[in-house]
Order: sequence, then C-alpha cells, then structure tokens
Amino acid sequence: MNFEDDLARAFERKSAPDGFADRVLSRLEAPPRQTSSLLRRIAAAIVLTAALGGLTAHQIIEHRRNEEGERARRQLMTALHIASAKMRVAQRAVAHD
Amino acid sequence: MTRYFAKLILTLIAAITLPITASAQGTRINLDFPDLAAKASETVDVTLDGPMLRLAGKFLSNGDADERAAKEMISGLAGIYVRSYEFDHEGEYDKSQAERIRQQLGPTWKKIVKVASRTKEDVDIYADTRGDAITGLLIISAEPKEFTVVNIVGPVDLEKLAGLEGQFGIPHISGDVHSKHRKDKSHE
Repeated sequence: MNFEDDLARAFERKSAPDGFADRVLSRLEAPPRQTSSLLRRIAAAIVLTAALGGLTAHQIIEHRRNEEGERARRQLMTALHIASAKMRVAQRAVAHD
Repeated sequence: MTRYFAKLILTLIAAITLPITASAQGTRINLDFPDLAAKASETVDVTLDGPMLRLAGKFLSNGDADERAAKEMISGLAGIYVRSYEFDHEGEYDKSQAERIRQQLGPTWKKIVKVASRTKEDVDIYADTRGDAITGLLIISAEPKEFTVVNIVGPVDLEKLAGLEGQFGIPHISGDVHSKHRKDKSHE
C-alpha cells in the first residue's frame, strides 16, 4: 500500500448506479413542493380573514354611529318640543295680559 | 422685521376675536338635580352639546317639515340641555330648585318673561344678551307636579322657537314627550 495506489483507486472511473439518470430527470420534472402551495393558501386565508374582519368592524362602527345619530335626533326633537311648548305658554300668557 | 409685524398683528387679531367668539356662544347653566331625579316618576334628560347637535342635524330629514324647522333652529347653536321631572303628587319637589338655577345667572342674563299662576304653571324665561343679540336662553317651568328647565346655548330666535310647536302639530307636550323619552331610554 502506497500513496500512488490510493490515489489511483480514488480517481478510478466508476459508473453511476442503475437508474440514477432517471431519478435525476424525474426530480427535475416533478411539480413544486407541496409546502410552498400550503404557504400561499395560508397567506391567502390570512388576507381574506383580515379583509372580512376589517369590513365587519367598519359595519359595526357605522351601525353604532347610525344608532347614536338617530338617538341624538330623537332627543333633539324632544328637547325642541319641550322648549317650544314652554315658550308658547309664556306667549299665550303675555297675549292675555 | 416684516415677519415680526405679521405675527404681532395675528396675535392681536386672535386676542380680540377669541373672547368675542367665546362670548357669542353664551353660557351653559349647571342643570344637575340628583334629588329630583330620584323622586320623579318620569324624567326627561337631554344633553346635546355641539358635536351631538351636529350629529343629530345630519339625521334630520329635509322631507319632513318638523325636522326641517328643527334643522334651521339648531344651526349655530352650541348646546341644548333639558331636564324635566314629573311627580306623582303635588308638592313633591322643592320649588327653591329654581332659585338655585337663577343664582348661576350672570349680569348678561335678563328676565324677559315671567308667568305666575297659583294653580297652573309658573314660567320664567331668561335671555343671555350680548349687545342686541340673544346668545343663550333659559326656561324654568314649575307646575304643581312637574319641574322643567331648558337651557339653550347659542344664538336663539325666540319667534322661531315658539313657532316650532305649532309646526310640530302637537297642542300640548307632556304625555307625548315622556312616552317618547321612555322609549329612548330603553334603547340606551
């Protein structure tokens, strides 16, 4: 055993195992890995959920604002009814004097 | 130098106009009556400050004559505050409450109407006047079983206000207002 023999063995030409070329070619033609598709689906789901959440929140805020506005309108009409009625009482009393 | 003068002029304008603007808004009167609210069988409590008035204005319909009149009435107002208490029996509230309110009125407030009745309703109307303009209104109404105070902050057209009831087509207010209030409360 000497260095030259070892070197010659290491560089010795060896043929590839059976089916190696087919395996390489089939790997190249295979569809992209399943994981990247799953990630895209998760991302899409997150975006959709965020959009739906935003829309719902907007609708809730709008609904509350409408309720508040409607309540303010009713209160205003009540207040003006009362104020006007009292003014009329005074007006009638002044007119009778 | 020019900048300095520009700043000085702006400061002077602000110093002159701000107090005028503030005084044109009139004064809000303290209308807290916790004792009355506890004793009353029915209560109307309306507090509409500037932003709430503007919000209410947006919800008034132009197609409805009453609401159109109301919209016109509130333009320029800074607040409307109403407290009305109805009691089951006569003499259930202390009539000195009215005096407590009167004590808050400053020198710009003037009594413009006083209606005194032994059996029906006493109504006092005060106006906050700045020059020729009315910048606030206070109505105190004391009936045997009902006590009502209205404070309007901002420029008020008295004729328009008195004319509103006729426009609303309601001859007398009490029952309808209170039933409406109960409905309002249930929504809150």
